[in-house]
Amino acid sequence: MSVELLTFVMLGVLIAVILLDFPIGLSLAGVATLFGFIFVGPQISSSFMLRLHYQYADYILIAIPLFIFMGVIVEKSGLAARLYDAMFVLFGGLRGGLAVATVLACTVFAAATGVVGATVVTMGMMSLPSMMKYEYDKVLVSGAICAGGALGILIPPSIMILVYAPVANVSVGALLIGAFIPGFILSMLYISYILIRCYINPKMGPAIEKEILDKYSVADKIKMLFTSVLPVCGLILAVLGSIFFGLAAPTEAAALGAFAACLLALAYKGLSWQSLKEAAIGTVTTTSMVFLVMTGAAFFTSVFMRLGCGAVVETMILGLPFGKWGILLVMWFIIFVMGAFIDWIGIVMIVVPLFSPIAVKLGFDPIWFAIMNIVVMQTSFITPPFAYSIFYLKGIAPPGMTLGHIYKGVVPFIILIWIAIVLFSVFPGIVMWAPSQFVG
Amino acid sequence: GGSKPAAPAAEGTGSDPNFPEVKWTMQTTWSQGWLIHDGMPVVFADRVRAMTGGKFDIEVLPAGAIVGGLEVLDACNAGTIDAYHSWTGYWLNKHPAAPLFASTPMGFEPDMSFAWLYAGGGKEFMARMFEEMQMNVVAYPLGITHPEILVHSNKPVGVMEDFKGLKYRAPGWWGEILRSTGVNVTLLPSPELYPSMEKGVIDAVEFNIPMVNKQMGFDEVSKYIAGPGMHQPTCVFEVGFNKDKYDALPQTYKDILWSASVEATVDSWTTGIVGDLEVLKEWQSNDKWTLQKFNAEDQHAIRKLSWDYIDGQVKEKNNALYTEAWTSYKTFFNEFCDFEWFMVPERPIVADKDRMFGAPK
Amino acid sequence: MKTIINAIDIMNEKVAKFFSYLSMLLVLQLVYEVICRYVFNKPNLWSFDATYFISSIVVVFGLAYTWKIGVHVGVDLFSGYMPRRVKAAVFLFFMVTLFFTTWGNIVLVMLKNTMYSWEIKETALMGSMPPVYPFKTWMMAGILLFFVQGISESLKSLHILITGNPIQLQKTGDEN
Ligand code: NA
Ligand code: NA
Repeated sequence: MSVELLTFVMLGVLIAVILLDFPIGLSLAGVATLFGFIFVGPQISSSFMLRLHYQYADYILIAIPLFIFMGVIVEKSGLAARLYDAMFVLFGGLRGGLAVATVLACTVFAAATGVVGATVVTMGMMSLPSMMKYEYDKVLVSGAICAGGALGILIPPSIMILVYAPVANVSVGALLIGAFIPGFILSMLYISYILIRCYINPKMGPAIEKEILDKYSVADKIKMLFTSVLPVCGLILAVLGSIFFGLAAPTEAAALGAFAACLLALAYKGLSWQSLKEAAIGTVTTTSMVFLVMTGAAFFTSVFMRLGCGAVVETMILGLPFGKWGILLVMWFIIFVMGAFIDWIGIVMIVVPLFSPIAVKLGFDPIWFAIMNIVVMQTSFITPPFAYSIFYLKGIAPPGMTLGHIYKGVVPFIILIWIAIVLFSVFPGIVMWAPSQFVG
Repeated sequence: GGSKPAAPAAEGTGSDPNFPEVKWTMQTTWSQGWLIHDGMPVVFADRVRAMTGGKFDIEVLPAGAIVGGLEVLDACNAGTIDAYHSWTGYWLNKHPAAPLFASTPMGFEPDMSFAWLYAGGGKEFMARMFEEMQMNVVAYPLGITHPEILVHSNKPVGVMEDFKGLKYRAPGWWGEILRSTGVNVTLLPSPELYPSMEKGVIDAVEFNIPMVNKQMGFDEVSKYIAGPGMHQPTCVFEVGFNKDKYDALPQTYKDILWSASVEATVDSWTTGIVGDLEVLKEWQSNDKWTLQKFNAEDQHAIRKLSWDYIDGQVKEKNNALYTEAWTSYKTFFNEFCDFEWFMVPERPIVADKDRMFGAPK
Repeated sequence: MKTIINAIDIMNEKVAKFFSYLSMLLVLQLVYEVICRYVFNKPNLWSFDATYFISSIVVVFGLAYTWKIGVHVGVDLFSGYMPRRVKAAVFLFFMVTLFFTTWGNIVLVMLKNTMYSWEIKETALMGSMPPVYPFKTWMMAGILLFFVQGISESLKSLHILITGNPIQLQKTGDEN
């Protein structure tokens, strides 16, 4: 079998197995084993073992269970309920206000974590119950959480940037500084979209009835702000701040966040041995789910690269008869399509070494190109069928929310990202302003 | 990977049993774009292709492509990859003698290392180590670099006292040795180094030679740059092949692999020096950085600390190979120092070193 | 069949819940490290190792139980339209062709590698370079239990395939 054919067959089999409802992580790992055994040999299992050891010892990934622990505590202790009761009052008067609050919280959270899983899972667990309670449109809600959560990989701190920079041979600092503004602009686009959609069709995110809101006096609102909203913002800022002011590495900051959440819950008298126990087992099951998908993706990427499928992509691009911008668009489109099927680590490893020299030859600024790629790669978290954000959300979604809802929900947000990509291409200064200040 | 398209097969080698078609996959411990990746294993693979008329094709993949960067030896042992490029010092977790073949604090410089490994018994000790590690691989040196930068830091590091309380990323033996000087040895995964420097989680970092450090952006987040590379006066890298695959090769290919490894080693050594001359010039000529050379007397103190530490390790591990190799190493080092003192003419001082590098306090 | 399924499910639930308590220890250990570093300016070299030792136990022993309670996500777009028995048959087919081959082989490789690690007294590469064979041992144990959970899940589908109905199991405690 030629490598070209093999590339398509391998991807095809994977998609088929996933669509037949076999757990994602097991599908990825299983297809990797199948092709690995046939085309490499049984020794491929050794590399899977090494990947497992590596993943479970990865210091950065340990932030995942810690942020989940923090999220579960916040939820179990009734903090989430209080927060959303407060948000309900503060933003509820707006059509789509709770979804806006969710995206805003995701943005803040994204600035505190480098891990999308933690953002989606924690924000999902905090915001879903209340939005379900007020009968928000499930499609809109799931899209907002997935897209908002995916910002976690774009807005620094970002694992993707730390992995990307050395592979593309560009400055880490320039990328970290450069990714802030695009991330923030995306967040604003999401919020505007939600506000407009819900303004036109109030059923999607109903404004809370005036009588309900009127029950709260100004004094009540101020009290809520101080007892429900500010402590949680403080909690997030404690995490964010401890990273930004160099008090702690992201993993440690995650632990501080979890600990602070326990203290907060204690103050609210929402912390019992029972809730700690539930937080512990909730942390375990959610983290296991996330880790199994990552393990499977690692196995799959490993075999994909070992069989030389990466080179197939290279040959295809070099044969293209388009101009400068045409090839650029094709490269982004390839990243986008690959993102629908494999994880971003695989894309960085396969695509960045191939594309970066091509882009430089075409005369594009390497830093601009890197940031744009990161924006495009971020879509991999929300493009079906294979999308971490979607799987994480499904893992914690209430029974009434199906994968169908989520798949439909992400579409408008993918379009918004493409609008942003066009915007950043026409006005590259938006992306380049901050890094150029930095590089000086 | 970064491999060039294979050259067309030379005429008449089509069915030659000495030149069969062989395709191998090699993975390295490094990222693409680094000198250690593009300058050592890729040069090696290109030379092998050239010398076999394109018949022996080794695809070179970066860290993470198939397995993690530090898992290449295990993966090669298992046969998941055919070959790897890495740094022998990483195998300290499998054999205590590993750093002797890679780099040792206040130990061999490049020419000493070269001479010991190739002609002074070093590569024989190395082969014995791989046997004791029960690794089904054939490994030898591929790539060598000159001393590394001692620290990129945000505090001056010029004398022993400067180490007190310094939050310094220093892994392995060097970290252990520094502990007694009052350094707060900190360990962080390499992607965390840049942001940690920027935010002051750590004060100082050692990583690699100037070119690589510049690629990692450490000059962007540090004010002081200090030499000499006491922790790694040289750094020798390693290529390894799965033994079953290697044994199946015709003798011509085994010879070609060896020759290509020596050629790539010389290439990395010389390109590294020429490239770093430029980087150092840039750092010297810009007021953004203060370059500082560590006090000479204190260097002697650090040498004593280092060697005492290794002596202690050798005693503690009580491994025959380790003891023999270290004895051979020390003897060679001392003899080489005397030899150079006698043989090498005094070097002129061209630069105004006080102006360019900053005098020690 | 019922006895085997119950035995596996209950065992994996107990194991996961028992080791889940360590997640609290993980939080405390890291908070302690931050205090040591910033209040006393004395970082602990072992902290790095302790962190991934604890977290790996917490996560790896949860894989099986997470499956049992159905949290390992799949794509339920089309399976909703499949008859129960077809769905069970498809699942069993993938279990046999994909799951048992993948994880059975990994367990075998892990066994070999862990024994080697004990034999040469292998240490970790980072941090305080502690022995790494305990880590490899519990990783193997966790994956083995995950493999065993696969037997339980297969039997459940086999029951559906044969009888057309899910097996009636006794409740195994609070599943949140
Ligand atoms: Na982030
Ligand atoms: Na995707």
